[in-house]
Amino acid sequence: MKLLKIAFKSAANRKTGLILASVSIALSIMLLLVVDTIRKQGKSSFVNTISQTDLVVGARSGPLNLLMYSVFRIGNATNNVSWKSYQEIAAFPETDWTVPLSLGDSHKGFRVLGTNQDYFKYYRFAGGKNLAFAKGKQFDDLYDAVLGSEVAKKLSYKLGDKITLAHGLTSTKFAEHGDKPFRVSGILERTGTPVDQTVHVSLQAIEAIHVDWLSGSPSPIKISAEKAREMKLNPKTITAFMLGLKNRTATFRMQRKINQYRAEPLLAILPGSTLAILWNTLGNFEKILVAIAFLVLLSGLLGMLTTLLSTLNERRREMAILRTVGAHAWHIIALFLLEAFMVVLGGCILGLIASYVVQLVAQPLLVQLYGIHIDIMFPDAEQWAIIGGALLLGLFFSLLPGLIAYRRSLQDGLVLKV
Amino acid sequence: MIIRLKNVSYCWPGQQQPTLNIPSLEVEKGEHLFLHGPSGSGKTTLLNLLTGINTPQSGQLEILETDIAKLSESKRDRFRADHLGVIFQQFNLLPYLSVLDNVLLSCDFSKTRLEKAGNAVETAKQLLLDMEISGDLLHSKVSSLSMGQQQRVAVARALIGNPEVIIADEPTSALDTDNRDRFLDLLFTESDKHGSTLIFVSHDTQIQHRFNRMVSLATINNVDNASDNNQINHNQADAK
Repeated sequence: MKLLKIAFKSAANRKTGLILASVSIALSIMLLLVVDTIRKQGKSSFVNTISQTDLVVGARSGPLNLLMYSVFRIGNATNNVSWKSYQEIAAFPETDWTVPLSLGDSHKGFRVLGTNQDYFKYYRFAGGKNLAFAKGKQFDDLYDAVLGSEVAKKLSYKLGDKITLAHGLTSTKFAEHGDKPFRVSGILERTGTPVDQTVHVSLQAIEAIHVDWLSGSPSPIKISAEKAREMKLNPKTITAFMLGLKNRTATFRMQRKINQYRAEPLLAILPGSTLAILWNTLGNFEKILVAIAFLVLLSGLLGMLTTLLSTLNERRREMAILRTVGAHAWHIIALFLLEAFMVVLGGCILGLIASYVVQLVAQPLLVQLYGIHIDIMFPDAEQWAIIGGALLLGLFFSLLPGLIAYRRSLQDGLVLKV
Repeated sequence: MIIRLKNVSYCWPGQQQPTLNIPSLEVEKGEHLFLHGPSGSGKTTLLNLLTGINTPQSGQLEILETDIAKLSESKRDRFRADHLGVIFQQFNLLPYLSVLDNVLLSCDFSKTRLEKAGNAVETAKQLLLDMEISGDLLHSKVSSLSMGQQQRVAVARALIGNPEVIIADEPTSALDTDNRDRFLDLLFTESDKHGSTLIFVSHDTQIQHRFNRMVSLATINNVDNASDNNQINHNQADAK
């Protein structure tokens, strides 16, 4: 107890260097924890985004590109799929179900998805879970909208609220579909997928808000919301569609069939395997991050070692005084161990706090930019192991100055070299 | 007899000639011994032996009738904490502890002295008062004290818990004449009051008249420094 007090007061007397060492350890602990959390949660969030959909079909581009815009709603489609092709493929004997996806509009930074009621029936995530409604129900009326949980939460919408969609992804006053407001008919339960960030409307609604638009800009002839109701609102194109097969063994045959479809250049992908490819690409990046984080931890600990070693000379007198009043040689080593323990423990606590701050800040950004949802969670066994490992490593490092001081205190004896 | 040395010899590792070879030295209880030790006379070595940091290779060294060479290293540490008070030339105090905590440090590592001190905090305060350190300095930083004050705090630390032997290593060399005399007055009074035997090492012969007895280390140390130097020279010549 006395030794702890002495170690603490002695360290407090040299606090600047030690606090800096502690902060650099904190940074590396934070980095390790954040990378680890994002790695684990990112992967599960990613893989859980879509399941039980056999194929995703869009205009011909790259598989990753198609996956990104259709499932993660990141980036844009280079081209559309004609309604006719969609109808034909939907009528293939192998096809069990299809869900059309029409993207391109937004509401206050959230993407708007035009689809039909089948979406709520067939879209599955996290190993087969259905979408569920927290409040309300799916769209019935032309101007009904169903909100993802995050949209409702962030913009504090409730059932019956009126919302206005914007043309394109940036909301400017000039490109708003202000004349045709939507009513919130339902709010979905949280899924931890990009669905949470989406405003769902019917395909007909997408047509309706664009009836008086020509090639991406409003035409001078205005058609009112009520008038639009009476018009034929069959879509000519959609962005992509999801497809389920009656028999999954036909997946590759069906994929080839769509890829060789004559009427229009199309691309069909298996979402699961494309997700895996994508994650592997990211996985290398993640490994590099983990390696960097470990190197940062090592350099933090080396920084502490440098600080401890640099104090050896000025602490020579301190050690001699302690020896005269009866401190054993192992007390001297213990002083260094205790000091290192305080520095590393301080660093770990600081790093843990900082990692939560970073997670809280990064959480909405990750969802918005990459469609990856991370839950803020209590550190798991592996993360405690990282912290424990850092502590052990710190103690191990401090043995060096401790042993040097021990040897010196035997050599110096009680005579102080001024 | 509180300290008895008989044919004590010590040779530093790696050296061929012993640095110290004392046929006989005895110190009686309550004595104030002035040990005159100019540099090169083996003063450092003798202090390390007396405090049990090092042990003699041969001969007998008894303190309080304990042959400390026979004790284990950690027992020697305990023995030093229990029975010896040490005062250095200067910088005796830990800068991060208060004046009071510096005095109490002696009790932190020795149960014996903690028990002997009774109410340790009160005893420490009384000792500091006796050493003319005013009460308002008790909790101040060591660095705010003058050199003379610091040395007197060191005496209080050496004396708390009534150790049998006080060893002072040139404690007055950094003090001016006035401070030195005041320091010695207080040191004598207090060590007598606590019944401690005082071994005072110094090369300042101006103050030796104030002690009961004077022993010159150069006289009792039976090693030939000249031949020691010759030996080194021979070795160097051989190396060439």
